[in-house]
Amino acid sequence: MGGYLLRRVGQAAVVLVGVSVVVFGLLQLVPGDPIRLALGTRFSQETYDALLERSGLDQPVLQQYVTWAGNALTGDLGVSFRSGEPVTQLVLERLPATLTLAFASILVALLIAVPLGTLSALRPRSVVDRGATVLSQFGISVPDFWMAIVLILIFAGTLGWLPSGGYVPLTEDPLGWLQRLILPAIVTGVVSGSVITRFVRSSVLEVLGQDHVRTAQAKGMATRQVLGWHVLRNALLPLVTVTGVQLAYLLSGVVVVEIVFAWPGLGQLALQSVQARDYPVLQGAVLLFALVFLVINLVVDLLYSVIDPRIARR
Amino acid sequence: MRAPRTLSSVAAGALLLTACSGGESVDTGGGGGGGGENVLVAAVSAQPDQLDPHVTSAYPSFQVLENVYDTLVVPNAEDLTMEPSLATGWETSEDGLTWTFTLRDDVTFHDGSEFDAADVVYSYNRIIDEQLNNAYRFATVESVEAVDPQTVEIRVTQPTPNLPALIGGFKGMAILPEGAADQVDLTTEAIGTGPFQLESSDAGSTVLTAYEDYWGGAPTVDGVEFRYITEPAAALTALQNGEVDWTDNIPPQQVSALESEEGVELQSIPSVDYWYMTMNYDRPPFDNRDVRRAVATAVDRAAVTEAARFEAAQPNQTAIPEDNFYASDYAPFDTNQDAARQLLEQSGVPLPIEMGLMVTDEFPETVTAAQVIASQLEPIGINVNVETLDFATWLDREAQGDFDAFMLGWLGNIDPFDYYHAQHITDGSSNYQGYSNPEVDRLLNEAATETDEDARRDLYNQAVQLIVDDVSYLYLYNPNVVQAWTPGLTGYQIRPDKAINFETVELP
Amino acid sequence: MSEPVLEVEDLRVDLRTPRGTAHVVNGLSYTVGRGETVAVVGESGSGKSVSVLALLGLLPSRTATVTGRAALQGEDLLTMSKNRLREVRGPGVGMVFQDPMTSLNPVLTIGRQLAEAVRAHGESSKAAARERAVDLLREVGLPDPDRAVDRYPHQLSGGMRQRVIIAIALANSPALLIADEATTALDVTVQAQIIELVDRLQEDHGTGVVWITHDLGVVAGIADRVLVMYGGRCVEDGTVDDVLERPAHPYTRGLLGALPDLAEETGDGEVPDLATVPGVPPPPTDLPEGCVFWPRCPVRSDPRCETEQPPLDLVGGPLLTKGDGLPHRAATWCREGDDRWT
Repeated sequence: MGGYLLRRVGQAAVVLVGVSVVVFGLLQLVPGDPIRLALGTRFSQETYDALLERSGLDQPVLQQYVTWAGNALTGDLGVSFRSGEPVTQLVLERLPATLTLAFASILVALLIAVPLGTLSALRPRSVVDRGATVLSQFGISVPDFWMAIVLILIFAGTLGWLPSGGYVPLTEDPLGWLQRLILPAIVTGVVSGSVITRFVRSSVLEVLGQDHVRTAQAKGMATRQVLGWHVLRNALLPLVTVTGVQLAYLLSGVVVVEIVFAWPGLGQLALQSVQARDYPVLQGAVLLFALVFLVINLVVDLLYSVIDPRIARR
Repeated sequence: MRAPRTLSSVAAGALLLTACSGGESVDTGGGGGGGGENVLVAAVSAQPDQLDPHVTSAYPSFQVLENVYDTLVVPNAEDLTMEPSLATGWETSEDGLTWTFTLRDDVTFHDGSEFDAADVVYSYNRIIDEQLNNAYRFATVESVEAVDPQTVEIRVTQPTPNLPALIGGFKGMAILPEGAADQVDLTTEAIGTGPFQLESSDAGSTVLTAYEDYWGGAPTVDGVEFRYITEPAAALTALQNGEVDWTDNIPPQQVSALESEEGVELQSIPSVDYWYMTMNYDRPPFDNRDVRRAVATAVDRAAVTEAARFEAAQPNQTAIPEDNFYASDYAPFDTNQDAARQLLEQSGVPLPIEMGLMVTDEFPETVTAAQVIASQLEPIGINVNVETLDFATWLDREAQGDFDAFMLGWLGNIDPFDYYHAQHITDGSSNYQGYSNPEVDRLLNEAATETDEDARRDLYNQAVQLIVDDVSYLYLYNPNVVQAWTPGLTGYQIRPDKAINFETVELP
Repeated sequence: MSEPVLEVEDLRVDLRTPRGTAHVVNGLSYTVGRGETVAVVGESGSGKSVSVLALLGLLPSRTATVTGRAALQGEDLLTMSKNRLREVRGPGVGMVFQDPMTSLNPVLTIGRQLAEAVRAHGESSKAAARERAVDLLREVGLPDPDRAVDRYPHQLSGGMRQRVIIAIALANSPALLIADEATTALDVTVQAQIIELVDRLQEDHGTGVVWITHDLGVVAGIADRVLVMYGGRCVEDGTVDDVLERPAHPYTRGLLGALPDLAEETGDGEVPDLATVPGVPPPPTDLPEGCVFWPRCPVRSDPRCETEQPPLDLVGGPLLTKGDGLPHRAATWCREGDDRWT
């Protein structure tokens, strides 16, 4: 196990280096001048030159990358070009909000997808199945900002049941935390859940046709037992991968939902840094997202070795 | 162990764990009732990028800084003439080259230290020496000196009648305590003289608390919380809900609906901003005066304004809004498609003309306006291709001169110099269209140093006529500033320069 | 003779398919006595598997229509309530399916899957069920049953898995065991072991066995009677001796046609499979009017073959049957004596 982990960490390091190089390179190709953006529309040439020098952006590209990489290795991801705050601090500040929303969304998604997908597979082409298909199509096609705004207008506006946005840490105000989490989690959860529902349906359908399910029935087991231990236990194994992908995507910050709900997450940060061409923050954010994917992949693989006996533990 | 249950419980567990590690995200607002106690909750559209007044250029930052820092002088809330603030008065020497400002003696900074001339000298020199953002405003300044603790002397290289507007137009020239930049991190901390102190600023909100020893008298509210709500629907819902007390995030199309709504108090007054379109002199045929005038004749400003801003704007063929002392009523163009076609014929330029009109989605109203303009130019033989870019790319292309035409605005103008000078003088720092008219240069330069107000106005009016006739800019409209708050809120005045000042505000 | 363990009367199974209704089983009737092994042989598509799945109610109810009677120790399986059927599966009938590689749940231990069978029918104690599982594994000859019980299916070979499946089928001491091609997917040597195992278990427990196969080793080795299926019906049945030595139906004759001596193994030690008959079985959606074998039949000695379905009648008279007085029947118009193609 130790050797395996070591190998994975090594691979991850290579990926991260590759990602940082690619992002750095791409940013050089993208039009847009962070100095100009920072200075606004009225400024003199001297001001421009002074800021350029202070920022280090007048250095040759390779030099800039090497400096950045060297610092990154010691954990120093640099400072935001716009605000001067350390990148790591900016990211850490927004991490709890993103983590909260991501996990809440996955929870909502699974609560929708597993029952709905399973029911659809158990009764193919029935009313439930067709209804679930329509709903999941809807969930996938509907723009999330539209859904978000509609929910705000209904639940925060007309009904006044919930706040219209914002984020409070759980420790400060548990009720407020929950109230603010509900609507955004529903929006992102419905979207994720719709994708996962289709997947659960096809996975369960496939397992239902397998021989061992027939064996279980022939043994005279109760239907619920067969469903739980033989059908779902197998059908939901691949769900781990799909959920992992969805989770990784959610952890990279869901920009639109964050903006509409004023949710201070990493998506907002990423968008702001793109608009401002705040390279250090962008680099740091992308690196973090890559790291998230790598970690989730690793966790998924390890999880499989635990829940699927066919996969040997190393 | 079942996979689905496991995943769900893992998700739930992780949820609790991460939520408990609250991090620094703070949203101190509970549900309805605003920020609790006596705190004003204001919903603004974006997070400040940083809080160093000399370095930031973002409007969201200044929405906050307006309440934290002071300048020597400030624009009057109604007619925008410059009034005393940290300075009680000022005098100019005969030759106009020395300005003497007398300072208040009862001002303390938020850290308790006393304010005096040394702080002014430090602040201004910081901007000049380090070439910070607003250094261009000190272009004519030769020296800044403290004559005595209550007197500051500024020497200029030429008469600068708009010096007060330059040093007090907005909080970008705020007064910091001497040596502040070395003592604190000004990007996240503030030691100002303003009515509120900066308590915290993070991803969720920026919180200010009242400064009891403010020289203008302690504020009525205990504090202000700025929440960043980018989505207008959410901001308005929050206002109607009572979650926030004030917002400026109001789309123009909602204005008439909100005006008649009971739960909301809305005001819409002319602002100092103006929006315009311009064409590139380096790109034929747009260097042809007749072509430019044809465009100016074909564009229906009223229609463009209505489409972009609905009722919340005034069409204008010059830059300065009509109730301003320096306003000009020059409006030579009558919308007339036939006359426009004639001008094009006269120009001798073969039709159709292809025009790329560059706009940015940073300001969605320009995208709408551009589409209307495109539809108005097509019938006369000019095919407009609206190019919508993100702001960074837009700025790049503007700077490189890579455009046929573009549309943008100039915001926060106080003095006619702000409205006209850098944009239309040959090689002006804001003259991206490449306009050059020696007569205009002469007039603008003279006006820049003319100390007599009437003479000055006259000079600018002459310049404006030439600028408009040549269509250096095709002026479109002055937008209104629109803000809304909870009914019963008093002590707040909406300002044409869009500065947000909560000094005297009182919650219902 | 004691009451037959299984009595199937005129079993018919129709399946709704996109291409129309498939008449997969068309009037199948047979009995299985206590301790008796009945082999059911036929090509794929003859309806063998479907007929036994129908007995246990394992066909999808939306698309399958099952009629007839199938009495297990007197109780009709086809009209039982769902609950009763569930109770019968296991203690009444145990099934062993063809592919041991896919018939076990890959994520549960074999001990767990055995225990499930036991606990589904009364025994609720985990410990007791586990003990029974170990016993069962021992009985089917799995080495080191105490450790094996915690193994996962993928850790066992095909033959061992089949033993486990047999153990599951016998876990509740059923009166009837149905083995559907239980050895087809296995190695030759392993096949022999499995066959022997079932034989032994049958002797020990007195279980009736229906063995669907096309393996003559089974037929010749342990079957008491044989039933030949074609086109969803029985075309010939009788004792092993009767059918193998005196096949009366042209189809049976064709199956046995190329074999020199059924009771012996060939030189290389392999037990011969049934020969293939040229042609293909009729599609169950479109069965011929007359004798179901007629399209492929090389004999066709009777004009009624094409138009009239021959009933399942006795072959010859009592004098010609050996065996224990069990009847030898065939459904054909073409009778003994017609050697046009032997």
